Amino acid sequence: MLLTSDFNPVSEFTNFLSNPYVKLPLGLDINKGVVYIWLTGLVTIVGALLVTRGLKLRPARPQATAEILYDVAQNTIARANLPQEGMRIWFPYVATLFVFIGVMNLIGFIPLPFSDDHVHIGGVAVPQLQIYAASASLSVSLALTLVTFFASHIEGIRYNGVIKYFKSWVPSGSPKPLLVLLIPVEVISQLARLISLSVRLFANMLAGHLVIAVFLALAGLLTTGIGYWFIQPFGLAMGVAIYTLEVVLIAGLQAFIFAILSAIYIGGAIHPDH
Amino acid sequence: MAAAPSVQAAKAIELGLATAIGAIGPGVGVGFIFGKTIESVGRQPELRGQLQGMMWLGFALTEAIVFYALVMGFVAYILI
Repeated sequence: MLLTSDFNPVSEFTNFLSNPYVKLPLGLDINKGVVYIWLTGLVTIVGALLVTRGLKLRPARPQATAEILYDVAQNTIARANLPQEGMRIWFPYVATLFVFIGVMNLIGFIPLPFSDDHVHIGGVAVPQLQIYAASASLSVSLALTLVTFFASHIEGIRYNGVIKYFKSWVPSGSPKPLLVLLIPVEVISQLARLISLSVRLFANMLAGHLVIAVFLALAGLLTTGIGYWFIQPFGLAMGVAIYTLEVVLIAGLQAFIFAILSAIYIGGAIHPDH
Repeated sequence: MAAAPSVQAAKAIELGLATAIGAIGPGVGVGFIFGKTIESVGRQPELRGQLQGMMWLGFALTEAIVFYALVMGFVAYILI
């Protein structure tokens, strides 16, 4: 990846769509993104089973970490935003979102050999180690967003009834002529949630990976030619710095934001008055 | 598919400008959020935990606006 002159950082995130591992009808191909999602599910399930197998009153480090995550999911994300009657159904959902997206983002920063680009070692084509996150694909984040979107509207209708729910979109007692203005604005803002929620996750992960790729490519690309001696260490340092920032802060924060906004949307639909 | 150099230059400038102009507002916003949180913690240190939770929420919501600009820049970069 680093030493070719026609380096294109975007191709890493688009090429895998055209050559999947297994070709299936209806676009249900098994490609790199699907493998990453399977891997996320596997890591999440196995990790949860391992942590909960021997629960102790005085927890060791894995159990203590899991308890902190559970506490964040239960108190900060769910209980602060969901009404009491919605907790039983939707606390597991938002907690699952939190853990699943967090693990998906973090797996994306481990170099894994699922790449389309190969490097030849002794005549054998070995896949290059590359970083790729399933959440850096709009399909994945949009699918998760659609679940939240439909869940919030269905729950709003189930708890309030159709008429009362749609009436709650506009402030009660607003004058009739103003409704012509208010209703389109509210409908657009509801639809804009689809875009903002999905693009936030997707663009954060995609941009993070692209910036790392570009800086590390700088470390490898522009080494020839006098006067460029400072580019290589600069690119390497910036790449490592951005990588650390993404792993420590952004990966977990995006999972937290996605889960808490899902909880806010669903809770707001169940109890529309606040 | 090599485009004319002037087109390539225009695309590169477009992507840079889209990200740069899109980063101005969120930059101000993120600074404002952190500054106000520091101010509030200085005034009421016992609310630190709650304030920090809201701070991260506001930070992520604001920071995402850069990426809307970046994605739109990429859309224009790839499509044109």
